[in-house]
Amino acid sequence: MGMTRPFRCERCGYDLSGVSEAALCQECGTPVEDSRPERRPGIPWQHSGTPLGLLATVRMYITTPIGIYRAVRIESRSMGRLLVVNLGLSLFIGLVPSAVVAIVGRRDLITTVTSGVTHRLADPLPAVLFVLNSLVIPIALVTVWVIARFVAPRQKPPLARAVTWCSAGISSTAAVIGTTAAVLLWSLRYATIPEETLPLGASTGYYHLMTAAPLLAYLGILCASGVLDAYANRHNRLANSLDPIP
Amino acid sequence: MLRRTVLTVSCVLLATASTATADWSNLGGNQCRNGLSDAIGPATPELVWGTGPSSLIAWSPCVEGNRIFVVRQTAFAPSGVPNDSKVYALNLTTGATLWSFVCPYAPGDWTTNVYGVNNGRVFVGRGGNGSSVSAPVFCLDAATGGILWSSTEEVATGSYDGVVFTDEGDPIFATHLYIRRLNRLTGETMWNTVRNCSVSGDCGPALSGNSIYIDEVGPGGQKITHVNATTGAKLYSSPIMPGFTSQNTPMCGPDGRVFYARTQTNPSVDFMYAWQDTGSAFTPLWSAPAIGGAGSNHGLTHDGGIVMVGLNGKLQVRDQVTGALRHETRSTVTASINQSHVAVDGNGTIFYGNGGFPGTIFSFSPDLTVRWSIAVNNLNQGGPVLADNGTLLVAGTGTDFRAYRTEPPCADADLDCDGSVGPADLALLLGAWGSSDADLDGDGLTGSADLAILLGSWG
Repeated sequence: MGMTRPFRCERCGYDLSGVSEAALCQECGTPVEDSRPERRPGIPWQHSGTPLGLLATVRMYITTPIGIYRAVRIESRSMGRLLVVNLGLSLFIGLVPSAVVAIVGRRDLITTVTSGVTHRLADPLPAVLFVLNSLVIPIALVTVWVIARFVAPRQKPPLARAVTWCSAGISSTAAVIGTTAAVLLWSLRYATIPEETLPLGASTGYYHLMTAAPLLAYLGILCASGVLDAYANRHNRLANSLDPIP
Repeated sequence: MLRRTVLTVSCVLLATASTATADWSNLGGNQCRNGLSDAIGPATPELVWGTGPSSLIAWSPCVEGNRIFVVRQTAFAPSGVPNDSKVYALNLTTGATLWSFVCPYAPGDWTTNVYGVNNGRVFVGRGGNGSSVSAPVFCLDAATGGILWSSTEEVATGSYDGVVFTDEGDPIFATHLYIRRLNRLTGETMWNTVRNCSVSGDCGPALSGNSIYIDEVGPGGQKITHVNATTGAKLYSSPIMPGFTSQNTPMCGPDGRVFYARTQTNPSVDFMYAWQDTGSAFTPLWSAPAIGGAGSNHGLTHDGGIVMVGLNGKLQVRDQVTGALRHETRSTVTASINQSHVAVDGNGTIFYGNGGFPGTIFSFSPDLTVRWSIAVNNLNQGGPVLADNGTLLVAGTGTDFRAYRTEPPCADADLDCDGSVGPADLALLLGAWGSSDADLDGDGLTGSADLAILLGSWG
C-alpha cells in the first residue's frame, strides 16, 4: 500500500482525506473540489517559463498580489526555478549601478554647510546594492532550501515543502521589483543631476535619507512582500501540493 | 411582579434540582446521544438573547446548570494561536461571558474542542482534525475556568467524534483507532482499547449503563461493537451492515436498543439500522433507507419513536421496535451539506437542525407538523441544544448566538408555578392579602374569593 498525502481544506485546514469530491468540507462548508491542487489555474510562469511568462508574473504580482497566491499551483519544480531566476535577475539588476559608475564615472553629492565649507560626498548606493544582493541572495537560497528540506517535512500544512518553494518563488518577485525600483530611482538622479547640490544648510541626515531612498524602497517592497505572503498563507492555506509523494 | 419573581425563583430552583438529568452535557445531548430531554423547549421562536463571542465556525455548545460552554473560533490554526479558539462559559439566562479559557497550543495542534461537561468539570482539548492531531485533555473547573488537570496522554478525538461520560463522570474518548476511558479526577488513562472505524473524525461512542457502543469496520461494511465500560473489553459485535464508509456515531435507546445510520452517499446501502442488544449478541430489529450526512446525531422520542431522515430528505418518526413509519414531514429538511442534530423535549416537540451552510433549525410537533423554523448561516454543529430550563440554544457564525425560551404556562392558582397548588401558593396568597398581586377572580384585590379559588384548586 502506497503512502498517502493528507488532503486538507484550503480554507480551514480540515483533513478531507477519504471524503467525496462532491461533498463540502465538514468544518467550514467549502466545496471539497475547491481544495484540489489541480483546481488552481497556475500563474503565468507556470504556463510559460520564458521571459514573457516572467514579465506577466511580475505584472500579476503588482496588479493582483492576493490573486497570485490563489492562482499558483503548489509544486516545487517550477516555483524553485522562479526563485532562482528572480534572485539571479535581482543580482544582475543590482550590479547595474556599480557597472555604470565603473564605466561612466562617479557622480558625487555636494553639500555646503553654513561655514562655507563644501563637502563632496560619494553616493554609496551602488556599493550597498551590490553587497546587499551578493549577500542576501545566497543566504535566501540556502535558507529556503534548508526550510524546504529539513523544516517543512516535519511541520503540518500550510508549511509543506512545495508550499515553501511556492511562497519563496512568489516572494522573490518582490526582490526583482525592489531592485529595479531602487536602480531606477538611482539612475534617475544620476542621469539628471550630474553633481547634485544639496540645499544650503542641509544636514547630513538629509543626505543619508536622500541616498538611502532607493534602498528604502527596495527594503519596503521586500517587507510588503513578507506581509503579503503571510496574509496569503493565512487565507489560502496553500495546503495541497501537486508534487509527487516522496 | 410577585408572580414573575416567584416564577423566576422557582425556575432557578427547578433547574438546580434537575441538573443531573437534563443538562446537555455533550454532543448528542446525553450519554446515549439521542437528543432526548425532559425540558420543555420554546413554543415559539422567542429570542431571549441573540449575540455572543464571534466565531468562524458554529461549534456545539454544552450546558450544565446555568452555564453554557462553547468554543468560539476567530482564526484557523496555526493563525492567531493560542487565542484562535477560546473556550467561553456564558450565562444561560443572559448570554453574558462568565469566563474564557485559552487552551495551550503546541505546534501542530488543532482548533480547541469542548468535549463535554459533567459534574462541574469541563473537558477541552486541541486534538482532532480527522484524528490526525493528538493533544492533551484539559479538565477545567466549570465555575472558574481554572485548570484542574491536564492529561499526560494525548488524545486525537475531535469535535465530530463527541465524548460520553460514565455514571461516575469519567469521559470516554474515541478515535478511529482506539477508545479510551480517562479518570475524571486525574486524567489518567484507565483503559485503552484498539478499534477500527471507517472514517477518522466521526467515530464517537454512545453509552448506556455499562455498555459502550461503537461502530467498526468489518468485512464489506460496518458493525456495531459492544464494549464494557469498566474494562474496555470488546464483548461482541453485530452482523455486518454492508457499505464502504460511514461517518456517524451509534445512538442507544431504552431496553438495549441501538441505532446506527450507516450512510455515505450511496442509496443502495444507506440505511438506518436498529439492533437489539440481548446482553450477549446483537439481533436485527429493522432497517430503513436513510440519509445521514457526516457527523450526524439523530434522536429518539419519549413514546418509542426514532427521529431520522429518510432517503427522500424528509424527517421521519419511526417505531423504535418495528421500524414502522409513524410520521413524515411534508417537505424536505436537508441542506447541501447535511449534518443532523436533534433535540426532543418533554412535550415531544422535535427540534431539528440540518447543519447546513446555510442551515435551518426546525421545530416540529410530535406528528412532524412544522411549528416554526429559523435560518442560521453556516449552522454546522451549532444546534439545536436544549438546556434544562427549556432554553433552546443555537450557535451560529459571527456573533450570532441565540437563546430561545418560552415562559412555561401555569395554572391560575399555582402562584409559584411549580406545577401544583399547595402550601407555598397559600403562603403567597396570604402574603398578598389586600393587594392585587394574587388576585385570582379578577376583582382587583386578593381576598376571600381568591382564597376559595385556591383551595378549590388544591393539589
